[in-house]
Amino acid sequence: MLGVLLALTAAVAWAAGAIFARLSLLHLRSSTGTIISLIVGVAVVMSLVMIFLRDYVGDLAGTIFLWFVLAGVLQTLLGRFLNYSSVQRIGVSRALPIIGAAPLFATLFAVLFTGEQMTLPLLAGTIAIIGGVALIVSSQ
Amino acid sequence: MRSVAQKSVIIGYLLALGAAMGYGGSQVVAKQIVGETHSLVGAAFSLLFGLVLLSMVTARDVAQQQRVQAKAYVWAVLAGLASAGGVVFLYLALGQAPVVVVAPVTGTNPLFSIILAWIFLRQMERLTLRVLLGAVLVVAGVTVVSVSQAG
Repeated sequence: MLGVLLALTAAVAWAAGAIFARLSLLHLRSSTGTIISLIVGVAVVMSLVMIFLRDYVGDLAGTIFLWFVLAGVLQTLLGRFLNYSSVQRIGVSRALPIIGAAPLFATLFAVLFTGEQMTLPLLAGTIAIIGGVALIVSSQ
Repeated sequence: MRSVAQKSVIIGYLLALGAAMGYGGSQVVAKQIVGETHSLVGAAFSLLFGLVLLSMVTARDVAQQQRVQAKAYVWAVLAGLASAGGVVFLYLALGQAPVVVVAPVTGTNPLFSIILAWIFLRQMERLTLRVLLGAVLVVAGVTVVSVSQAG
């Protein structure tokens, strides 16, 4: 039960973040808004890591930094920046449901590049997501 | 001929799809990272490297930012705090419940976005039944995908 409540809090926090981003992007360029939000995010998360997980930082091996760079490109350059740019153009209520389809792409990439199996539930979920996105895009 | 506004909307949808692909790809990479370190450490360093890279790519654009009202910066800071809070609560949730439970619940965030937009951004954004139904379908699909992957 506590896990569900914490997960719900995460979902509400991300939703609130999108609303705050929308308000800031009425005046700021999407690049500026993304950079400011990222600076704050890095400061918060990195502080928690340095306080509670410092031992892990000392153990980081050289090759993992290449994964960090790749994750940074995908999550930040593509993810967050394009997220803010789309919110600025089409608004929260249209952009966020489409961006919410990220797990579908994660699974499709895993099928394509890491050899995971395409299953019936995955196909059903894919059809539902595509249908949902089509409904949103077709809305005037 | 499409109007400038229509073109902007189409670009907006394409950008949203690009963002979904970026986040989706980062989840695949994250699986590699969590095999080698704590997931929150991975999130912190991925964000840090992303910030450095994005700063280099957008430096010229950011430099052209005109001076705006202070409240715009406050909203951006709050956006960063909320996003970081989401990440922290995600990891706290994963410490209490399995991914098969946590992923579908966090996947509902577009619905909360729509509810909050309806409450706070009613002047700016028009919520239609189609958008709401579309969001419900996306969340349902993501739930099915997440559960099937976690199982």
